[in-house]
Amino acid sequence: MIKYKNIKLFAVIGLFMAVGCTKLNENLGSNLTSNQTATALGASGVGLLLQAAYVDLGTPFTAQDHIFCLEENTADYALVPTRGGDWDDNGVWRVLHNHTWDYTHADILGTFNSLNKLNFDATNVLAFQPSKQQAAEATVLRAIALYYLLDLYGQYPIRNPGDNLLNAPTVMTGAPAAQLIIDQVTAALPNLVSFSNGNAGQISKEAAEALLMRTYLNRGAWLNRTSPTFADADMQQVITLGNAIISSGKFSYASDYFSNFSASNGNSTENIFTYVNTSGVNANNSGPDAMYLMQAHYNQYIKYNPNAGWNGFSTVSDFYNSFGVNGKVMVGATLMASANPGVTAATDPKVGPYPDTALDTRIGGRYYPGLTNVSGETPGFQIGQQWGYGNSVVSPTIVADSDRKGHLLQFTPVIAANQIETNSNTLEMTGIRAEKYIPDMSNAGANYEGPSGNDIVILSYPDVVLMVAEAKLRAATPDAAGALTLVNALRAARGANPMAAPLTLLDNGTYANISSMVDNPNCLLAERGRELYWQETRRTDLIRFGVFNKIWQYKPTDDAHYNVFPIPQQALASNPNLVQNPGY
Amino acid sequence: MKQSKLFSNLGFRATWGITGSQEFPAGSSQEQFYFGSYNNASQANVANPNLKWEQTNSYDLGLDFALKNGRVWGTFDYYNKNTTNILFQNSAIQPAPATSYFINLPANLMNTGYELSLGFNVIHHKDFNWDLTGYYAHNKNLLKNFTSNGAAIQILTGQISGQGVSGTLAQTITNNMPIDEYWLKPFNGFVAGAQQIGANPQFAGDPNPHSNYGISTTLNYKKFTLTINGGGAGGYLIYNNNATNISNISGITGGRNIDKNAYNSAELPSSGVGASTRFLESGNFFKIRNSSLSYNIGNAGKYVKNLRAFVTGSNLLVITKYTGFDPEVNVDKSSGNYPSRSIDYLPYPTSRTITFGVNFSL
Repeated sequence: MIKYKNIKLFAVIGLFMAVGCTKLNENLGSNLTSNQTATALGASGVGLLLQAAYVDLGTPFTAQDHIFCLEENTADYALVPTRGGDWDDNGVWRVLHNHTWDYTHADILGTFNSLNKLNFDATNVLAFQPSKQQAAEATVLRAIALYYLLDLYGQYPIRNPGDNLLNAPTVMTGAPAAQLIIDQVTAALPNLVSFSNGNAGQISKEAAEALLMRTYLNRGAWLNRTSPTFADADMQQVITLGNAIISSGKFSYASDYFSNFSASNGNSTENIFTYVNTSGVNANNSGPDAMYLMQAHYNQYIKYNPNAGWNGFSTVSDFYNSFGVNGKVMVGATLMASANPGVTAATDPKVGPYPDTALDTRIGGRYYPGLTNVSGETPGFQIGQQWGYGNSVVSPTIVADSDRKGHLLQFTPVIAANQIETNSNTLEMTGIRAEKYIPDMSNAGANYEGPSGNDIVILSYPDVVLMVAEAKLRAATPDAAGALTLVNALRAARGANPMAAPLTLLDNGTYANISSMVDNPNCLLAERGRELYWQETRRTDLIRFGVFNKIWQYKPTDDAHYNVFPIPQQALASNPNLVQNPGY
Repeated sequence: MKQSKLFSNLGFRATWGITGSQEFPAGSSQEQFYFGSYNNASQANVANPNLKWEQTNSYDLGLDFALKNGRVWGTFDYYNKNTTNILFQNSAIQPAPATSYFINLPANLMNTGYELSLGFNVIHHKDFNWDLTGYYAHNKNLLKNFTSNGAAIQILTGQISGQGVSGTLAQTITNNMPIDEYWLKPFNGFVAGAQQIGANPQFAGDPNPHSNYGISTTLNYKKFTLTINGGGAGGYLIYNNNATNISNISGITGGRNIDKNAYNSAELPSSGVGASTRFLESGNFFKIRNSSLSYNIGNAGKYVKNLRAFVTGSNLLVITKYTGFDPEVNVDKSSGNYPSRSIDYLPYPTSRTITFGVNFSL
């Protein structure tokens, strides 16, 4: 009897279990499903989704490990030498400058993912019910992501709003990819607001036009990276769009170059589109302090922030020397630095103590109120003896900085040939430093290590002017005189002497390597370098000018396949529509 | 077994079963929207409505025996576990709101091995009794069919921490290898005071122990009792992350403490730092985990019954070549939710304790 009862009991339990265990209904706690979100947001709430897309701009453009290192470290003028036990990081920085990276590089993957997050969030705005202006802003935000993806990786995946995320999206490459960006941004233009000063964080008509100019100008390079050719129609578009921005009168050169990159650059008259950060506010702060901490030495400015600097990023002597004009010594001692210790003033009249920085305000190196009086640092290029208010102990008066071993801190232009510093007396001070974003000294230095208020510049007026000058030179009937006028107006605003005619794209004649620009820096490529250094456009410029594979300082070999980055291995594995770029 | 003269018990066992796991974050199968604190809302995850159980299919063959005189007994098991539909964080197909999402990967994680345990009653005497038991387990783990679109998937994990090595990932989960196989650059000795590290990482060893064993013994002599328990593991490598940091001689130029041996060596401060096979050490060890000696006094006086005095120690002794604190490494160096194994970094040292005491009841 007992046995029979047990069997019945087990049978009933078994039946319950069989029916109950097929589907689980889960209620989410603090998050909403997509249906609930559509109802909750309504028409006015779509702005929240758009704001999420804006916030996604912070990661790719700020700090040293996304677009910055892919555009700047791979170019001719930025690198991170391995200083003994610092900055080895498994070699990730050296391979960028050396052009020996492969598809496992962490920053190549990180940038791919962060740009695609912007791509997704902007697309997602279009899946709800955005207003015309919101849809236009989202389209342009997505176009920024697509532009950089196409420039860096040669292809981009793209989804339609509301697509199933488990399906692999289509991938666009080549000419249709560039045309899609142009078509979408052009269609969005009528629905955008006009730029107004102080509101550079919002996508404006002028920002979209600047992005269009970049796309038209680079289209020829994307189609053929080894020997770019440029369609005249594209160049005319660049000139037309650029002239519209110039003649709108909304932008003008600032009297102080570095004010466009300071912690209070929100009202800059040169910045067209930026990622906005506010001093002392953590909300959506993208960490712009990385832009000045990454090259500062540990002992620079210790008053409230001991050991704040990371002592990494440096620039090269050839680039620093390119601030001369025609290689000629200017009145007032423009003696330039040499990377070769054996070359002295006796053997080469261009060599000597470091130049008078009155040559060009973009060099910096002079007293900057708000920065130098508080910390002893000077903006722009830092070379030679540095000064500050103490090294291990805060000093009330200004003293010479020293490195962590007690040697005087004198940044030198000479970097080890293989980017690995081994001389323990000098390894902390090799490399000229470039401080473009002025440290945030507000609130008595409390914001120095973050949250700092520097807006990160994504599109700017000098870039637009230089693009018009370049398009004039590349047009079917070049207007070299017009281009020279634009460039000299820029140089006048920067306190630099005008260039002599004729203005050329590259230095006179064909050259073997970029360091020849030192001897002959009177060309548009050099001017773009002097104006836009550290602004994440250099690699794109070098490819467009056809010189990215030339040999330059600390890069002994190169190959054409490095003109485009590899698709990260994880992305290739998950999306069969992505095709690895040749050579990887 | 009535007929046998030798065995009092002899049996064969065979088992088979399927068990499951559902350890994925709640809500992974639904699209979730997250409202950030600063006026923004965005989709938080990639949803997979097809998520299901991870299944482990296992079978086991075993043999139990005991000898007729009751003095020897033992078991032997051979097992094979095959986990499939592995709950796996796959790369999300960009553009996506997140970089990964959960799928059931049709790969096979194989754990196969055998276990053997034996017990002896070595001495059986009125006043003196000695029992000895031991076990030995051998396990091998292998990941098979871990491919996507025909190519082997390679996940990197195992973060190495410290100055100058940030971002280095030292282990890999990939096809036809045990989980967390080391993926390190080879160390090629010293040249002129500088360490030479190869350019490219390669497979460098297994952090999963292949063998586990234990011994337990009890001796009784009249009123004294001594028990000793020990155990160990072998067949694996430990990555000594502490050594990577403290042998980084350039640290001393920045005022950090370094290993005295490194300071006295010929290596120069400019030698640089890097994660390499230099810091892989064998993890083989044997520990005497605990031991207890007690004396049974018996009843003392009218009220105190069963008085027993004892001294017990735990973590008494470890025999190993590993230079770190403890070869049983339990530090989490996972990266992006992929687990790591046997990377030793700033562990809390295990302590040896010795306790004296008495037991009695009233």
